[in-house]
Amino acid sequence: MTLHRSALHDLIPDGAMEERYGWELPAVFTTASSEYLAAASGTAVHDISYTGRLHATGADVLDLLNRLSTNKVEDLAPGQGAPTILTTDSGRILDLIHVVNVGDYILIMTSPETQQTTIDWLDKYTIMEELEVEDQTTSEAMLHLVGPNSRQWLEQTGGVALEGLQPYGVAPAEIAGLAVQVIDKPFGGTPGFALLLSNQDAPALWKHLVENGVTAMGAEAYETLRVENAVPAYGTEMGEPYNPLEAGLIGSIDFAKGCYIGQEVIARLDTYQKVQKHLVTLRFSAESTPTQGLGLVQDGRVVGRVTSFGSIPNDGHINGLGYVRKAAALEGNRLEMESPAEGWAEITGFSQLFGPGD
Amino acid sequence: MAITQDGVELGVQISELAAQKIKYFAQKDGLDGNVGVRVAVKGGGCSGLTYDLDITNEERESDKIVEQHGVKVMVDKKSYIYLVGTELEFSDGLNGKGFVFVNPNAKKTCGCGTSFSV
Repeated sequence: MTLHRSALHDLIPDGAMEERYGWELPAVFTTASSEYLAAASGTAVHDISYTGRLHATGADVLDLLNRLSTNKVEDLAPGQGAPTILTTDSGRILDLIHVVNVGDYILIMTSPETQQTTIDWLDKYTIMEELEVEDQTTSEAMLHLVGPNSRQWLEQTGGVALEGLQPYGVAPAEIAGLAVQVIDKPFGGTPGFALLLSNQDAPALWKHLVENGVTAMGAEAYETLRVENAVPAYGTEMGEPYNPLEAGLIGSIDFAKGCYIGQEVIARLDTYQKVQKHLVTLRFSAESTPTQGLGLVQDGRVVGRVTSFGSIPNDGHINGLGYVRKAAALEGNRLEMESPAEGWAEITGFSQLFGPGD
Repeated sequence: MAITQDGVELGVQISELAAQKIKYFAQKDGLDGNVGVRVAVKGGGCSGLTYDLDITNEERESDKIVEQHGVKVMVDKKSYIYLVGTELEFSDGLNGKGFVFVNPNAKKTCGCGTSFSV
């Protein structure tokens, strides 16, 4: 199978690549820990061209998306955007998408590798609606500028006026003479901006960022940043085995907007407090070696499973994410790793990915 | 099960009370001429598909039209397969729900009745 390559492929030093989501991606540029540190305390940039991007056109796009997902998106004016969850009729997660009204089209950002599932889903529910959806993932590039200083970098060094940029929205800009769409895209609690531009201009923008104080960030550090910010990912924390309330996505659900697929199930779960398990943040003991799917045990019974973990220790400990049964999902609770694995995992908090509704 | 009238296949049949109510609402909205109702199905909604009802006297090329009880019933062609055999009724009184679709194809409906799946 041929792997996709982003427009930045030729800028990456040899031997630093790894395969992820069907793409050849740089794993590390300098060291994963220094890259992570730059993102956590300054500004870093990661090539997210592998994230699914669909362009939808037609009078009924937002109307249909509103009836198929949890958040209120029907009134998104040009420049506005919102995260919303496509759900099945039993209220399970199909995907968390970021819908942005760019003006000429509606941009739907999906998880990596779920583009076709989303297109097929929209197609299935298109009856008399007027809409067309195209996968434009490989026809353009997208960079994720992240870090507590990312906003400052864009305004001061990038020369971009950000006052008009709304949460999860988009504003056109010019950086180093290149046309860029700047999309507000926080990474959990860490500020972030997605920079959408042509494949042709992407190498020049990358060079400009890296030569002006922004740290180049590979997949390894980016994944640790994701875990440290408790951002759920498709395949590990999100997918049909889970509902949005378990995954901590309550900020992307509008409980007052009316009918959408799975709405009654989700409303009931919330009203009657019927959520059975929670996505929690975990701190692993120093000697433990967590693996994906590893059981978490309390009083001899498996009460949870590890879904993700970082590769860079924070204060001597690796952090991760996992689903834990409601009764055991308490902050400070220490769970044992399922044997033969050794060590423990302490629950440090709950995953909360907030949307405009928080 | 398709309903036939004078050899013409009807997707949707309307009750006499529903027809009366359609004429009443059309008059309230100030609609002239031969009053009609367009019924269609949209994607999405809590069970997967949603009924759409529009009181209008505008005919469209995409409609199958049959007159019943003095009202033009227009069925959107793309929605036809989901609506074949459906009866549009009107539920009156204090506990009445208003216009109600009774659809033999629907395997599930949501609590309020506006959404269904086949």
